[in-house]
Amino acid sequence: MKRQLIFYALAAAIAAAACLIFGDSVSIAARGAFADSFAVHRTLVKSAPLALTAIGLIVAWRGGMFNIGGEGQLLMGALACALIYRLAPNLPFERAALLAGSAIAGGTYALIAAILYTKRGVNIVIGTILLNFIAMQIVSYAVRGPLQEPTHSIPQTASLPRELMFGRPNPQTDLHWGVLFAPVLAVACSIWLFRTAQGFRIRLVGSNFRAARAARIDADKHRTICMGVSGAIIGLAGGIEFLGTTGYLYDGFSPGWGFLGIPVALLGGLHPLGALASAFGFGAIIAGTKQLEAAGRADSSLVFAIQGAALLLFMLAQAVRTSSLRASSRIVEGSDA
Amino acid sequence: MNRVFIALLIAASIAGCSSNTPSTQTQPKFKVALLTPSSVNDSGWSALAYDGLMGIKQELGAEVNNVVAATPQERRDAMRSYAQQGYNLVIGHGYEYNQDGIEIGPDFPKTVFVSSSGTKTAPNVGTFRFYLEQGMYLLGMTAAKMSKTGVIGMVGGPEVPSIESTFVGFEAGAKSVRPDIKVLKAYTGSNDDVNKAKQQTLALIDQGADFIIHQTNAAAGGVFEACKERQIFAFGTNSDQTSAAPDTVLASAVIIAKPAFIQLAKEVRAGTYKGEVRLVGMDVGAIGIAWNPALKPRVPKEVLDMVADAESKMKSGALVAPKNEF
Amino acid sequence: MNEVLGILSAMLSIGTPLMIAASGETVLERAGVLNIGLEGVMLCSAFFAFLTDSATHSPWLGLAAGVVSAVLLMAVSSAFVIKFACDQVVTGTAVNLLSLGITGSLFAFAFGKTGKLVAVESVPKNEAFLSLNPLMLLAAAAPLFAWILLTKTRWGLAARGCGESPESVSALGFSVIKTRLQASGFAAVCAGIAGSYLTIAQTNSFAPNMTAGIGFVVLAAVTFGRWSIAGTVFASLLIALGYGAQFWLKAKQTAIPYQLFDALPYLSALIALICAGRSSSAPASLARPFSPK
Repeated sequence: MKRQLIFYALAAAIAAAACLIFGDSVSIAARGAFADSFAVHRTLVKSAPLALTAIGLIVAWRGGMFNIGGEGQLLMGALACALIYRLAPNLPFERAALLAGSAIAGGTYALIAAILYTKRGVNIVIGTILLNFIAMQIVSYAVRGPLQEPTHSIPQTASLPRELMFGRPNPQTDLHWGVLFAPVLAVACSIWLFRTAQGFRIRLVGSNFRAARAARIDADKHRTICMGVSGAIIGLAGGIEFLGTTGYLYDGFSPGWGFLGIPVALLGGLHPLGALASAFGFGAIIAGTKQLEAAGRADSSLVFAIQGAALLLFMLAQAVRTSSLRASSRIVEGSDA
Repeated sequence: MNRVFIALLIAASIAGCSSNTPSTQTQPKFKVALLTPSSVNDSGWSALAYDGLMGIKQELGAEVNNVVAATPQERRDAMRSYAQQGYNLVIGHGYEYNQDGIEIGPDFPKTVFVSSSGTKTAPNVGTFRFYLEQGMYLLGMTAAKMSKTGVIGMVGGPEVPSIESTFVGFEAGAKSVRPDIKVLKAYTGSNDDVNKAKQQTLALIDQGADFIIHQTNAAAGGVFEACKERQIFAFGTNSDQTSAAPDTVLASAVIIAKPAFIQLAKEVRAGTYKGEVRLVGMDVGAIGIAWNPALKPRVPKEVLDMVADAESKMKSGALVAPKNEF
Repeated sequence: MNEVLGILSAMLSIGTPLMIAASGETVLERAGVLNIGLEGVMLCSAFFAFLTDSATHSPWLGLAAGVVSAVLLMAVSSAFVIKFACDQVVTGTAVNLLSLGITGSLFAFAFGKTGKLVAVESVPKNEAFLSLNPLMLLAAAAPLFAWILLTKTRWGLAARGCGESPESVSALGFSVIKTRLQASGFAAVCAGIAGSYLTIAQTNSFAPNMTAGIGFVVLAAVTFGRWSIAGTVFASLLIALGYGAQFWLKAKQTAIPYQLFDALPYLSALIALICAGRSSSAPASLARPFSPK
């Protein structure tokens, strides 16, 4: 309790100091993220992939699988969209097929790590990190090789036609209806994890391996399931980005959504609904700091530093509020059982 | 509960900051924005555009601003928000901004969107291509004439069409004076990785190359270091890179963005700009060759004469350097 | 012959920073800490070594500055990861962002907003034969030192215990936090030397984000070497050889997808883990925060 009070005092002091010193900049950033409908749309469209990635990660972590392969799974989801569109551009339900493909691809990619863990004992953190980097190189190859656009001059895949992409409430912003997947999946995953028997078993495997074994729960089966679902959700995030904002795949398709999903999930208290809120906060930081750059207050390099410092502050807050820290460390423990 | 409290705290502090911001309305000014694919501290492609932007600021007294916009979302976001803030000219420094300009242009008829390279146009969307291939062509001629081994090399960063096209120009220049010359090409895949650029250059030198041209942007230091170690000449690109390696860089193919940028901005301000594909080359002084004064005496007179002759032919249009369309 | 020497020279040049950084990272990972921020620490030391060298024209002062900056950044990172038991992956990501931002901004501040290509003084090099330089000796010394540290000393035993079962080490009366901080210090010195090597010995210049993923290649090398010093040295050399072969093949104008080569460190690490199977010697408590009760 005393530590918490100190923390609040500290937070208030930092916030006050930040306002005094960088008041103007803070308000530019805040206006860039919230001031008008353009700004809110900007924030929302950036929050969606963060939220979906974080929800996916949470599903795996709750089952004791410390999946940090979001980046790779997301890229695989987008890659599947590009591939399906290349092979079969005129399916009757093309959009649904692309989305389904992205979920399957992301799930399969996560399952590789899960199977390596359950069958060969490959540490899940290490395995998923390695798979991230392999996925990046696969994408880099695909957009310059087999999946390159028809004129073969630009390193990207063919663009989806406008009508295949998600609709936009206001054509002057990038906000698209695909972002609605985030709240829907957040609710669905909350119910699945916290209101169903299978969700309970997954959480038991994740939080208390011995109890799960005593209850004769097949741990490996549940770990595989939660990894598969986790990867599918993150792959879908890639598919939604593909269908919502870009319409094509290229090198650097993901500006690190998969990595940023990790702090989003932690700050969201490892709960899908919490992740929704923290993703909105992170989306605002990204949109806001970008605006700071556009206003000439910080150059593009400094924006990275601000984001890094913000992350460290969040981690500090996390450390002082020990409750959810314990939850996360328990989950990590479970993965090594 | 705790989290709600923190959120309130943050919200309150932001609101507190916002309220005391002065909002002054001043006379509408001519405003120009620049979007670059990488930070302008890259001493190369993005840096030269920033120099051009500063030229507009000084010459026209325009209000200028710049931001890095790399992903499609960032690009469109930045283009829209500048247009919403009443910017008159938005320059996207790369071919990739052309498509976004076409998409966004119709929504903001009062703003002109110009990209460096690209093929599509609309009434307020145009492209503005630096004809660097001309400079590369002349350097290719020089290298081919002076090479003792009959092998010269090109080192690229990421494999993108803009870089590929300049290599086409270099190779054509070399073959125009020495059809049997061997021109080696290798991409490192990275604009930042200085050591990859160095090691790749060394590998080309091991294959016999005794002249190296690069398109590795910020990683150019690695190329020059390799050439310095093996004591061969290198060429600079984009800007005069003599100072980076005074004993190694024989000449540079330079883009002089300022006059071209200023001309463009003046047309936009006067309202005479029409969306078009504009090729800016040697004829308007946007492309040139910068010799290293210390090393120039080591270039045979006939080579200098040949390059000068080709340069004047290019200015008059009698000699056309090949380039790719993208 | 010339070409074989060329590949060998590339292998030595790339292998040196890999081996030095990987020695430190292996010790740290054996103590249970996964340093995702290695990339950022190396970039930081590369920059400060470059900056100091360009100001003083002394590569050795540059090396010192690079090591000091690496130790300082690692101290911040370790405070979060080890002292406050924060998530190691997130903290590492933050350190990488922080370092990219700070070095990029300071570079623009020191050399003009548009940056500048600057060549700095190099450590003495034998340019005639393989570009040999004295820092390469450290590539041999660092793994040897790390090996003795880990396997022959009491401290090494405690450190390995921290990586396997910090609770037991703690119960035996050792301070897990102190041991991990010491391991982190060693890793920081190694990363600092390796990062400085990039600017003062290898390329003699700097570009924003010039590390371009080498920190992650080191993490892959440690994994590929299955957390043993000998294995890590072998993995680093093999990865470096792969790069050398890549440059040679490209120079011979062979149409190979370079992405395959760039993926090789990660692929080979994964394959090594798969082959090792359950006998894989990953420290049981790797990446697991420890908070003493």
